[in-house]
Amino acid sequence: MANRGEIACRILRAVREEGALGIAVYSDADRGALHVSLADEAHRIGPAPVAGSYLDPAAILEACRRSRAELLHPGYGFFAENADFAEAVERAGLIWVGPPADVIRTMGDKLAARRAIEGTGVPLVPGSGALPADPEVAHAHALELGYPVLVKAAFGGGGRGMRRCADRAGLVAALDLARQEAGRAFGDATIYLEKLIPRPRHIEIQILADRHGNVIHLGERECSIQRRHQKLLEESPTPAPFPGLRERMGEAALAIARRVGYVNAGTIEFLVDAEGRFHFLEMNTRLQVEHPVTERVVSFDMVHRQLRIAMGEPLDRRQEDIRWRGHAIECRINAEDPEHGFVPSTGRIAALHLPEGPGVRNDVGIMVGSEVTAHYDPLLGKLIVWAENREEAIARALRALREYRIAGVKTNLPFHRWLLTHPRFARGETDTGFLEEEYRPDEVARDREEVTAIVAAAWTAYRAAPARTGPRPAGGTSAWRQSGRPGTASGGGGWR
Amino acid sequence: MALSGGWREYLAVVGDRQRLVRIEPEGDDLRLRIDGEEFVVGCETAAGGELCLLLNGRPQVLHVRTDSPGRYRVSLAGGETLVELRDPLAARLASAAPGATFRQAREIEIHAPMPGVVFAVHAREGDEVAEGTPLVVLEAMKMQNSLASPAAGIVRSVRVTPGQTVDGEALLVVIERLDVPGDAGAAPPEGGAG
Repeated sequence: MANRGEIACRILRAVREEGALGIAVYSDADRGALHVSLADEAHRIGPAPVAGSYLDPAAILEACRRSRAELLHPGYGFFAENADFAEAVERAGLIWVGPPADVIRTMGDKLAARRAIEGTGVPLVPGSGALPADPEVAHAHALELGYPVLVKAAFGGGGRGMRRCADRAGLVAALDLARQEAGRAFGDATIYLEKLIPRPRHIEIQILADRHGNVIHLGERECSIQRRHQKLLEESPTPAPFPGLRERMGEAALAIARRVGYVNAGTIEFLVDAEGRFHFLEMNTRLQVEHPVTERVVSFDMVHRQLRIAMGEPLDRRQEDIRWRGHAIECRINAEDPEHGFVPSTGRIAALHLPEGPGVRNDVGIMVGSEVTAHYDPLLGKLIVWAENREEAIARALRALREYRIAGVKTNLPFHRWLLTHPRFARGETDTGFLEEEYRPDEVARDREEVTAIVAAAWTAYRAAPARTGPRPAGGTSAWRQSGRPGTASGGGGWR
Repeated sequence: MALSGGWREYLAVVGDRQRLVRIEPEGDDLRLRIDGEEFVVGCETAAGGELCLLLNGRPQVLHVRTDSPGRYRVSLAGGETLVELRDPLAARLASAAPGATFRQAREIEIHAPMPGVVFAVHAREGDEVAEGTPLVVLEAMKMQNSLASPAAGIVRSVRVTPGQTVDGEALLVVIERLDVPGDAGAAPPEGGAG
């Protein structure tokens, strides 16, 4: 298990359920981490910074050799979409739990991915090819597409290297910056243009494919609640009011998976416009953070299938076996401060109480005593709830969030409570601009929390040292006033 | 257990807000008054820093840690609040002139909200900044976080340079506020009449 945090825990649990031995790796910062405690064997791979541990191919391959591991699951992030590493793993004689390296390579290059699926009939976001240095050529493409356009990095991700341009001047200014950013962040400065789709929903289709040519899709997840292209809440099914969307997008996803020869779990992301037209955005060639949402509505375990597919077993379900039931919502619980621009929060987990009760699942990567550091991403865990319909799922998520207690770091729990009580969210009118337009920290709730915190602090201080002054002064006057005007202390009436 | 002892007062400081808190026993419970609002506080359980308090009959589960005398970190509902409890008498004596009420600090220190690496420094000493002007960009957890001035003022001191690694709460920038009236009669000692 070449990863850490909640996803390492999730996968190690599945490995043990399969009757196999789970092997963890850890950096110095993760010596006492939860994922290590869930493994049968654990190997140190280096210091806390990721470059010397979780992103050091030699260190991970050495841990594989020492432990005589047979399969390697990359989780998400780190090496999950690194074709060179996937190749190195197979060369070392292990089975890579994921798609073939050449498929990772193709889909990781947005322009190559667009070329690969042309001819499948799946609509792409209208766009250009790789842009030459001449800004006038870019401008000509933009006119053809129609402003506003997005400048995107061919190897980009997570919104980096992406810029929105409303006109020629904006475009000319953005080109060089985008190239520099892409070159620095992804090692390749290739950029291209895409037409901007206004107020899209982000909806993705989960697929599973085995080595025997069977491909199925598991329906959609709506992931429009994003902040700077980072998803915060996902749900399935989508609340979008377009009949037949799942079937049409599902067919499109299957066509793409077949065209590229996909194997194992993957996700095809689409942008859906206000009229319900969908456009291919990109494919993620790995397990997603939000996979539990799908697991819950189709009632089966995706990680078990990933492991069996990697071992060469055929899929045990056909498309017609897949049934969707009820509604699932996932809240990503991050160590960050929603009151102050979502800045990451670090510290030692001093207390942790996870919500329970019907329809609640917690995938977490921390325990009491865990150190949340700046070296890794701020995801502490995921709360997944299921209920028979969306309204009940929202109520259940809210109930669970009220039970959730973490001490030691600030979390985005207050944000999730805000979101789940928002009328527009309740109506399902979500698009990727929702948070930017709607989110303001709840000052009233914050003020109540502050007063409660003061009560708790004062209670604690008083219990530690209750006796100091003599008999209480009458009339509720303060010590200051009492000493200043001793004559009135006996009656207290003078202070009305 | 029944609480014994007399009343106490604290000056509770959260961020740049101060509130006067009065606390006294009432049977097994405590009665608190914060800015005129009254609470009867009962305690259900208290173990390992975790408290279940009944606040005017409403249960509240919280976690309280003390990292230094008078400083309480209270976790509640996934948020964390740092509460400082001071002696109100001492606080009043410390404030300059007799009869002066609590004044807001004229200098604001901008601290790193988390450990990280300084990615960029926009603030330069002597700059006039508005509320919201970006001062420093800190990179932590793969994210760049822009730290903005919380108030209009003048940059008095910049303590970091790009590329520098800083601990959580490290001092980055000092701003002198322009929106807090400085009264001529109470000039700071170093700038006082010579």
